Amino acid sequence: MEILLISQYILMVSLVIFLLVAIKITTNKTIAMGLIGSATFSLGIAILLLVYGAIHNIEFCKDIALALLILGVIGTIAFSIVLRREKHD
Amino acid sequence: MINTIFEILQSLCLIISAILILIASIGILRLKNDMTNVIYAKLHFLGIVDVAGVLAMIGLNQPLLAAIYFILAPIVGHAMANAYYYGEDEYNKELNASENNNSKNNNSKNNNTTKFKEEHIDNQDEQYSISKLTIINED
Repeated sequence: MEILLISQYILMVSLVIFLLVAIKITTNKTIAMGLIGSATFSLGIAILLLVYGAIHNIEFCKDIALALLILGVIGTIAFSIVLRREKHD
Repeated sequence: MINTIFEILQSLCLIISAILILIASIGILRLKNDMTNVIYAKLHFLGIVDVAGVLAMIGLNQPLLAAIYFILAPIVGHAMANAYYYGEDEYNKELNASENNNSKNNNSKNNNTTKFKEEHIDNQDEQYSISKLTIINED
């Protein structure tokens, strides 16, 4: 249907705008801002890959999105643990 | 017929998530970095994006991925806020201190203006200066 395709393209445009905002957050002066920006950037890329794979029927986009989501979460938690431990020691 | 309804529901999910993402992006852009506790406000905005992402995954026929991220998103948000709170909250403390100093300076400026008014009244007519001063002190 056309409406599904149009809504997917609308979501892609909004995700591109959100990725630009994530880059702006990442380039802030504190380290935690960079952490937050990169985590949200990985989320945006994962959803963008899902939408692109759904439009063009590319199956491996889903696998890449799953890997990005899980590894992004693991990386964010690991970095936050290191950032907290650094200050206490 | 059922397929059409299903696709309309899917597109509704996608459009709602797109609107939520746009609103959160505009909100983050409008935030100023000079504010205190601005990083928590940004995290709060990004919580909306997490929910919109889950909604978009449901709309894209990926319910398992949506369930995984629905569980993981609050853990990530809490980890980031925790890291900032224990790691580098000094910048925020500096902002708090500067805001307190600004408020003190404003108070001292207000006191100076009131003193100036008193002196001005004193200089206007020196004969009744003592009685006028007592009235101002009572106020």
